[in-house]
Amino acid sequence: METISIFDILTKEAPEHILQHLKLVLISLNIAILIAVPTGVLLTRKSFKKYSSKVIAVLNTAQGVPSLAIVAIFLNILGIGIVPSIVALTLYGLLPIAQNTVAGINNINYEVIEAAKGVGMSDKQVLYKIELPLALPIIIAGIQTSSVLIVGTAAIAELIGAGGLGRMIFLGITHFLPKYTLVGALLCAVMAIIFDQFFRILNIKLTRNYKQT
Amino acid sequence: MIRLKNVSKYYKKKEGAAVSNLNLHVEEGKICVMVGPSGCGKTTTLKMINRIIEPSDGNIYVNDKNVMEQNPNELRLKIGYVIQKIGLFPHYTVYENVATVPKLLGWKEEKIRNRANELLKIVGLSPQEYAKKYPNQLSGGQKQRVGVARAMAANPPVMLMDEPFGAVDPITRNQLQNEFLKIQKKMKKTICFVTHDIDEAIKMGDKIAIMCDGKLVQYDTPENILFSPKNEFVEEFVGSDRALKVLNLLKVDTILDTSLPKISIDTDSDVLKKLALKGQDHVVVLDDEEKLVGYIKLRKIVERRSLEKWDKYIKRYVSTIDEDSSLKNAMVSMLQFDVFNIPVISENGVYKGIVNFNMIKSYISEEYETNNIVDKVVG
Repeated sequence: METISIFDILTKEAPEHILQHLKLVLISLNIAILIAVPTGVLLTRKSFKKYSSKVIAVLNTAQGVPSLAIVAIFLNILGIGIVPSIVALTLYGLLPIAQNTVAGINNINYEVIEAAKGVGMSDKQVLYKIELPLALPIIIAGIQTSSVLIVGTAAIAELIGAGGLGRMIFLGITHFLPKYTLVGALLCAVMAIIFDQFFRILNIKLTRNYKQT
Repeated sequence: MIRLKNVSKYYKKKEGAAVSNLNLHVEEGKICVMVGPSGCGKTTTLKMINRIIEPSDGNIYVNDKNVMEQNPNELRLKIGYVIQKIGLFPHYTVYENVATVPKLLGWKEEKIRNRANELLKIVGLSPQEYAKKYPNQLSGGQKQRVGVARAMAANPPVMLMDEPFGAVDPITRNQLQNEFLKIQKKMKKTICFVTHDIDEAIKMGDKIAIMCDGKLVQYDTPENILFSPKNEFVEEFVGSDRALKVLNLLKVDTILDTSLPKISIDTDSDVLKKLALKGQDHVVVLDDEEKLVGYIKLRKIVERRSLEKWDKYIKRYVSTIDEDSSLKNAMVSMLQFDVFNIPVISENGVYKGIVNFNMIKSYISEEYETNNIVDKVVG
């Protein structure tokens, strides 16, 4: 065991964990988007606008809870395994997306919205044709932040049996195999960087044509 | 046609009404300019017409239909809307911006394309060059043009314009105003126009509604507003330089002098002699297409030289002005070039007549005398 090389860890053991980690991240990120974007949109609608600062404040506080604690809480509620892990990760990823959706929509120049209404668009058309496209860069920035958060937290989710790169890290710690910890942590970092850059480039591609002024 | 009947708007928080008991009738094909100090309720009034702001009381009719009985989105599709900060959609190209309303109305792609291209040409932007640009690539004036084109896209009979030329420099504004008036001459839309600039109101309006504290103070033609302001507020608002503003309002053709003899460039010298005998001095010389060549001063020539080969003595006018210029433009040219006569030519260079400094002076003082306020102006 002591003699296994980093190269062997990378080629033989890591792929399985990378895939598991990626699965965790992608599932939770997608669920987070599906919940947070509509919630954010709802919070910018006339009838809910007054609650938006309160809801964001609650989410902000929730974000202040350490990831370890979040994981621990869900251990008590849902037990161990992949499902509680995904629930915990999803919750952890909600805030940046919801917050940015609200900010993105509220930051659109009022005259653009007024013009859209003025030319005869219905509220739904204003949302889909004007508000969402114009808020998209900021929403994507939120997803970017969220993805990096989830990649990191997913490693800790191994504590409730999530698997993934966290498994390599904790294996290294518990069995005094620093190479495993090192490889697991580095791969985690690389994955975070890749997610970050992917969304950054996606944002540039989507908005290269226009600037909001 | 737009008609406001006893329209009021109250806000809960503020005391008093933003707009109170307003009655206004904008005739078909005319421009009504609402003007007043900020907070007078002019923009609120405008926005009540397309229900961006809901009136608290009273009725508004657009083309004889009560706006409160219509779906606001359908109502707005039939009303062109231009706002001060233009509000172009930044993620749409110029073409897509202009095509917005036709698309909402479900026009066919080809019809939309033809209409958008036609409109861009009308507002003076070449479709080839500008259709694919995004708003942030345009200058302020070009954005305004696109804003106007977007508002006219589905050919709405009624247009609402909230300080549409407010965000551009004075030179561009003047140009946009002139072009818009030219377009309006052909299109004959019913327009409600809001501005805080009385000069713009005088220039653009068929009628001007002066507002103060949510009330209509005076609703009248620009001439009547200038010559007989209803009370001190209007007088003050219009400004002490009313006499000069009148010049801005009047076109040169109101006092065009067409009595000067005109001769063609190949006229026989005998004709000139006859003119000289009749006591004529200033003679306008035109070419065979009636275009202006210059003038000759007969008296001087007759005194010293013979009239054979008279075309040697033709002098050029130092300046000319278009027939749709205002008297103010004429005055400015006179002062600039230190002359008393300026010939007026049509768009294609055909001679129309002469404006004369003294005639402007006497016309203005006559107008004021008939309105009995001449002493006020002098004072």
